[in-house]
Amino acid sequence: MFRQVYESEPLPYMTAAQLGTDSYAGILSYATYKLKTNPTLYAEELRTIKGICVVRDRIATSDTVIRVIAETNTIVAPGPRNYSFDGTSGKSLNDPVTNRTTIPFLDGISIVDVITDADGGAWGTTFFSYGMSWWPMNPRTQVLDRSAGTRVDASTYGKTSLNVFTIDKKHNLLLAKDTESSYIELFNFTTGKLLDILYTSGIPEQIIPEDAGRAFVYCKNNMLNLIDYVNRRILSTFKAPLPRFVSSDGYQDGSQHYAYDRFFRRLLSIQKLPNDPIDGSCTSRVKGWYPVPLPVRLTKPIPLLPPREGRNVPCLTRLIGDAGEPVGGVHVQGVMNGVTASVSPGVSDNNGYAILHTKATASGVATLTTTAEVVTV
Amino acid sequence: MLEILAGPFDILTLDAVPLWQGSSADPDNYYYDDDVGLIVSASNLTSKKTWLVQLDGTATELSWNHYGSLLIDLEKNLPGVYLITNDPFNTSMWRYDKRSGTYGDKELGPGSYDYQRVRLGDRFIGAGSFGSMYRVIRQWPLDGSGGSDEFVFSDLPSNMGGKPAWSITRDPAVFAIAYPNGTIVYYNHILKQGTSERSFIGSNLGAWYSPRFNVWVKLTLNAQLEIYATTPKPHALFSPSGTTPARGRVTTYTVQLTGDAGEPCQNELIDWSLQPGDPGALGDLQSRTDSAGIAAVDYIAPVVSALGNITITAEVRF
Repeated sequence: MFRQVYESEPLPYMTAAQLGTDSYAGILSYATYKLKTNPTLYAEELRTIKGICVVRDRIATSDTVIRVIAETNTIVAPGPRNYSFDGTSGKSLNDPVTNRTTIPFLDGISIVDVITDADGGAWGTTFFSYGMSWWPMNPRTQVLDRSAGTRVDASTYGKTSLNVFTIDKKHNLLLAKDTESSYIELFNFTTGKLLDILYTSGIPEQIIPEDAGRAFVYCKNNMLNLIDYVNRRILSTFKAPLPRFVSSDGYQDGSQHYAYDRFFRRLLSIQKLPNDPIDGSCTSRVKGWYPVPLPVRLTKPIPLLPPREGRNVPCLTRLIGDAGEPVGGVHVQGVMNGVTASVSPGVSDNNGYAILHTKATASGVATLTTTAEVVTV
Repeated sequence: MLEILAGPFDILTLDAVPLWQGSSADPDNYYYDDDVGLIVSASNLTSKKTWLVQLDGTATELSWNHYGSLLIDLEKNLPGVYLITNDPFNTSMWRYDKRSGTYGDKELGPGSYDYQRVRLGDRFIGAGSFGSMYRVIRQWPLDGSGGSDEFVFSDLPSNMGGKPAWSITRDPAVFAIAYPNGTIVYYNHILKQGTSERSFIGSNLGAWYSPRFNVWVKLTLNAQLEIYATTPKPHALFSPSGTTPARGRVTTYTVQLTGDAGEPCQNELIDWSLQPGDPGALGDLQSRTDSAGIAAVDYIAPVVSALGNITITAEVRF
C-alpha cells in the first residue's frame, strides 16, 4: 500500500451549452459514441482514458501540469479531451468558462492510446494504425510528430501490435509485453533484436518508466513490480494502490492508466469511475502516491522461546504491507495481561520484524497485545 | 516432540478468506524463508497465485502461480534467489526471486529434477528417487544426470510419509530434513553423513527451520501454521541419582529431563530442595539442564552433626 500525496479535482464535464460550441459536433456523430444515459446537468460522460502524463509547464502555482488524454461520450459526438491539472494543487486548468480543452483536429480525434517513455516524452497511436505504429506526441498540444524517422513500428520487434510497452532511448531499449505471459521482453530499440526477457509478478498491463533505467510494471493481478531493466532484475513488488478496475465490457484498457511523475517522484493514476448519481458529474480524479510501503497488518506475537516463569522470552511480530512487503523503523509496544510481566518494546527492522522482550514473574496463562503507530498520511 | 510456541493459526488472506481448499501433501511447493515468510503456490488454493504467509497465518498475494519445486542454491548463493523446477515435469530449472515470486534466467535443462532439493558447489542432493525410500540421501552431478545414493538414515523406517522438506540451519554444513511423519534429521553435506540428533514435530505437510529465529514452522495436515521451539517439551523427569554420601564429602546428584520420545530437554531450570530436617545442605537451589537434558546439584554432607536419610527433590520450573 502506498502513501497518497496527491488528488486532483474531478475531470470537468461540459454542459450542453458549453458543448454546443464544440467544433466537432456532428462530424463524427456515430450513435455508438453517443451518451448512453440521459444527460443530467452535463452533456457528456467519460468513455475512455487514453493516457496520462506529466509535463513541465510553469504556471502560477506549480512547475508541472498533469495531462489526462481521454475521450467522452457526448450527446452529439465523441469528445476528445486533453484535461490538465495543476501538478501541485490538483486544480483543473481547463478554460473556466467553456471547460474546453484544446485539441488538434485529426490527432485529437484519432489518437486512441498514449504511453510515456523513459526520457519524459509521450507517444501516441491512432485508430488508423492502432498499435502498429506510434509517433512522439506533444502532450500539451496532442500533436503527433510525423517527421521522418520518428515512427516506431511494431513490426520492427516482430509484433503485429505494440500495446503494452515503453521506450528508453538513452539505453536504446524498448520494453514490451509478449502475449498473455508474465514477463516483458527487452529489445534493442534500433534494431528490434530481442535481448532478454524479465519475468514479472503477473501479466503486464502497463509499463511505466520511473527513473534511471527503472520502470514500474503494472500487472493484471493488480501487482506492481519496480524493475531495473538495465541490470535485469526486480527491485520490489507491491500491490497497486487502487483496486484493479475493469469496465463493464470486461476490458481494463481505457479504464485506468498509471504514470510516473518524475518531478515529484510519485506514481499517478486515474480510473474511469461511475458518474455522480445525482448530477452526473465526473468522479474520476488523478491520484498520486509516494511509492513507500504502508503497513496493513501487525502480525500476532510469536514467542521464540518456551515461556517460563522468570525467563526472558523474546516475542516476534512483523509489520507488513498488503503484498507482504516489510515496513521497517516502526516502534512496536506490548502489554502483557494474565500474569505480572515486564515488556520491552521493539522496533521493526528492514524485514519488518520487531522483537519485544517479555519476562513474567509468575506462571500462568498470559496474553501479549502488541500495537504499532504509523503515520499514513 | 518439540514444544509448541504458537498456533495453530488458520491461514487467511487480509480479507479473512481461507487460503487453502483442503490439504496437499507435497511440501515441495512451499518453502519458508525468514526474509519473506512461507512461500505458497499450490493448485488447491482459494486463488491460484503465489502467496506469502506470515508466522501467524496472514497471507498476502505475491504473484502469479507456480507449481514447481523450490531448491536451495548454495552454489551461486545469490541474494534472494532460489531455484525452481518447471512442475509438473521438472525437466528444467530456473532462478526464482523470492521477493517478487518470479522466474529468472534458466539455469539447467533439459534434465530430470524431481528429487533434487539443494544445489551445492559440486553436486545436487535430495532425498529419495523414483522407487526408492526417502530416508536415502542421494546425489546428482550438477548437469542433472543420473544420481547415486550418498547416505542412508538406516535407523529410520522405510516409510517416512513422503517427501521431506529441507532447510538450511545455523551450521552452513548441516541441513535439517523434516519428514511428513514428523521426524526431523540433520545431514552434514560436507561429511556426507547424517548426525545422530533427532527431533519430532508431528505429522505435517511441511516443516521448515528458521535460522534467524531458531524456531520451526510447521504446516499441519489441516493446513494451519504452528510454530515450535527447537527444544522438546519436557515430558519426564527422572529421579535424582548419585552415589551414597559420606561425612564431610560433596556428592553430585543428577536428574535427566526428557521429551516424550526420550529426547533430552536442554536449558530448562530445575529447582532443587532438601527435605526440611534432613542433614547437610545443597550447593545450589537451582541448576540448568545441559545438552543431554541433565542437571546436577551438589549435596554437602555434614562434617560433625548426625547423619541420616536424606530426600532430595528436583522440580522443573515449568
